[in-house]
Amino acid sequence: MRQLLSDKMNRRPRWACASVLAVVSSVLCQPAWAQRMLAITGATVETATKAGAIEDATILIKDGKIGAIGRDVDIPVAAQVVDATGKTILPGIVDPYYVVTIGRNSQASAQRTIVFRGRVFVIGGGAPAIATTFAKVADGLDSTKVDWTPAIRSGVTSFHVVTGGYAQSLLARPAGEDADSEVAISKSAANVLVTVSNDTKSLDVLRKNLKTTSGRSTTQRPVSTSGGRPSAAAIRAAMAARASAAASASPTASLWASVRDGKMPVFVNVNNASAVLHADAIVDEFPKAQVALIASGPNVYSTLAALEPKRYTVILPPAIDRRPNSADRINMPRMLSEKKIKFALSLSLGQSDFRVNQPTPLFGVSMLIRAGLDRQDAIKALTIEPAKLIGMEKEVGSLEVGKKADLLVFGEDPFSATADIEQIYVSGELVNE
Amino acid sequence: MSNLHLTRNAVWGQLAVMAMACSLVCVYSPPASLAGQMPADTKKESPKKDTSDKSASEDASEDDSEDDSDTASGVLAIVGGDVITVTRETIRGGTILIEDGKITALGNDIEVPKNAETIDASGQVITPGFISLNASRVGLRSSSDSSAKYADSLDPFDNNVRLAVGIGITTTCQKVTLRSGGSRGGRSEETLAGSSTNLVADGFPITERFPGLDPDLAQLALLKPPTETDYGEFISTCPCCGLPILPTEPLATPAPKPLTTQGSVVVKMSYGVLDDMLLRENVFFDTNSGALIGANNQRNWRGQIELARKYLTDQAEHEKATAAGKKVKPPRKPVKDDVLRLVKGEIAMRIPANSVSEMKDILLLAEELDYKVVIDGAAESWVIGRKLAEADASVILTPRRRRNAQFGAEDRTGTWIETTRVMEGQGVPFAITSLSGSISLNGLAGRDLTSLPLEAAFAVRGGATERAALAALTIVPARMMGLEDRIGSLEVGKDADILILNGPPLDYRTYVETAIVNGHRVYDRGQARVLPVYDK
Repeated sequence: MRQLLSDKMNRRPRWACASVLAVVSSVLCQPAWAQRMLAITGATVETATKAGAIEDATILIKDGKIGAIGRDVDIPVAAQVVDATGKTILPGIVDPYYVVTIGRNSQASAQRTIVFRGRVFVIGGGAPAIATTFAKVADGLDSTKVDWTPAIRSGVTSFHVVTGGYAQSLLARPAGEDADSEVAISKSAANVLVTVSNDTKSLDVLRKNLKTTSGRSTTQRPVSTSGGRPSAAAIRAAMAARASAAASASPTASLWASVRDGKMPVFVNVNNASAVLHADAIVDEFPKAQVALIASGPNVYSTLAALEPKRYTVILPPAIDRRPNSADRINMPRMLSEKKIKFALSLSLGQSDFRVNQPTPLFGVSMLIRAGLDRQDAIKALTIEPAKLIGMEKEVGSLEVGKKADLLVFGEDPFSATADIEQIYVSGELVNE
Repeated sequence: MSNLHLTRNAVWGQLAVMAMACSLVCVYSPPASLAGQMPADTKKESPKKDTSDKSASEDASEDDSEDDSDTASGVLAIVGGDVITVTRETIRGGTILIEDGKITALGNDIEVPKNAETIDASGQVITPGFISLNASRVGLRSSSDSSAKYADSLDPFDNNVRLAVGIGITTTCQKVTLRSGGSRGGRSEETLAGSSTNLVADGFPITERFPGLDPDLAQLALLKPPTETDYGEFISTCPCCGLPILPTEPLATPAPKPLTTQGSVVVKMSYGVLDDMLLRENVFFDTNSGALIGANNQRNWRGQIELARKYLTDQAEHEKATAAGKKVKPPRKPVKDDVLRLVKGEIAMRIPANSVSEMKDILLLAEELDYKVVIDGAAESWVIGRKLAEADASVILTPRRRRNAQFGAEDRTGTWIETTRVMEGQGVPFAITSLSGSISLNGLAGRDLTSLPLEAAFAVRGGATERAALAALTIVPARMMGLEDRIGSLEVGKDADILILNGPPLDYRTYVETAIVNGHRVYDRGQARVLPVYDK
């Protein structure tokens, strides 16, 4: 059976296409690339859909989106044709957990010196281990200070930009060559991030916010500057804040409400295995809540049997892990794949393998595949699974008609040890060659 | 071009290395064996999840072939072992049924339900799990957060938990820092032992910096409150000259202040299982050794107890009055809750004491003020065995501890190996602790927590019966903590904290084969691989 994915547009006669183009080109404010059509022919295309890989396929890119994909695609005359025979094309990688540090204006970062019983103490000076005050990545991020190049050259075409602690993420995509910044930031959609450990403060962020019904957000509690108990005025202010919050639900309250209802996942970063159990005990009361679990700790694998597959998506670095206190190696993605627990791979979580001149960005993934991880699962874990997680599955994450044309062109099998990316297209535009 | 060749070569080198690595990975990474290495009960006990893939268990079952038999009924059965119940007679070839974390049946003529998971323990010895009264930070994360709850600090994946349960300890009582600070202006040992940044003021971590000097832990350690040296005396050293400062009575009478107490947490060693890991908090009225020494301290303490008793009677009257319909102001609570609990007899005072004079003081006060007392250390308790029995006190001993006798008074000072025999003879309940409450992996059978059963064997060496020595690890500490209805022996209705041993419990050759905590099978020697794996 032949794979043919094509929309109605392309079945029209060519003159219709051409006339549409003429109209479009007459509109001067359109950027140049929007007017171009590009056809990439002859490559093996990994679609990251049920269709799997299509051999000798043609991808027609139109206005930065995929106009048609399949074996029998009519190539319009106006289209620029790129022959990619013998090459393999992957969808652009979606990084579900790209960590940046942001400037938080929390009081903990302010340093104070006090003298107590003849001794000098310096209080604060650096945020507490886990920040428990809410911050938006969008507010604190200075995108010019983040080096995006390694990730973009490694094939990441969509970023879920996150930070440690309690925060709200943002979504970013590589901008074109001419843009001021390397990435373009979209502030529209963003998720709740929580870092938990097995201590009360960090667990309370998850616990109290999930339990709080709308209008009574505990995050609005004032932090008294003097330490100790909040003053009467502060309490009164808090009461007033709560009353007003009840009238118009605060932004965090509405975020948590959608987490409770399962409309939006909560990203929980766990740094050890027991934190998984603590977090699991908390979300247990909220059957609808979807949880993205960032398995950054070394022994998190040992709790995976406790996870309910429907609720969790595990985000992990593409690397073979080591069992703590032993020399045994584990292939956690393979375990998850075989246990039918959803998982996504984040290239940036394995920071050490992430360099500007990274010759083989998917080396870690190829190791996992050689150690038994299903190839299609690996591709999905890099693309469509993270896209689903961040709510962008309708735009990116796979090669389907209507989605953004984010393509990675490999000269050989992307999961061979020497595979290098030859071309990277973001929204149909070549950003790196 | 040549550059390209170079990188290609490098990449092929990498490929060769990777190929080797992959072959390793293929050997070590079958997910099946991994599934098996997980504690059997990290899976939640919902039936739908118990359908673990068969290959997993097959691959993993090195010494338990029945692991796979589905526990749809949720019943775990241990059959064929010699069951040492501690509080009742030993049952040869007995059967134990476990359900919902409790022992539901125990005896010889017990029918095992059809679909129960069964452990064949024939030829093996079954005892209740051991209890350690002096563990320190095992499965409990230390926190600098003043509002932290211990329930949130639990870490069931702490490797020390596995080591503890591997030696047979299923319950630990761990002293924890109370947030209010120490009595002598110093900070507690535990705070100092950690990094210099985990001190707390106003909820923020503090980094302590001396002006002009580097923060030096060794220097900070000099400031720590008096601790017990090997000689058992309480000596603090001068931070300037290093000479000992002997305790003296203050010249002016300080204002009465409440006795400083320490918190404690009872934690089950349920490796990999968070549910019910925290058993209870503050099971003792823990106070420091110097707290009752000297006329002034004793006067304060009497005052406290008096206030507590008065409050209790006031409260009873208040309740009576409100029941009669009168509106009366409730009495103000003059003392801390733990003093009230002590006076009510809910908890016992645990106080370190070693010399005869110290212990006599403590016993006199306890008899006068009528509360239960547990003497920790009790090196010279063999001298005053009858007094201890009369005062209804119990002691916590470490048979291997050494305290030198005073010259000329060898017959009534210092430690004696036969202390445990004397205690048993006088009917003084004794519990046994190891020399240190931490777990270290330096040396075999060292001073640490993992030498606990060996410590009990030394009690037998000193003349105690094996029965008393085993009770000293099980039911006696359970009674001290007021938890005898939950742990400490094998009886129907109690927590299923059970050890399957390959020999007599106090033999140094014996290993724990399987440990069950709260009904969860949390340790199997063959799988955990933290202790030697071989068959005798």
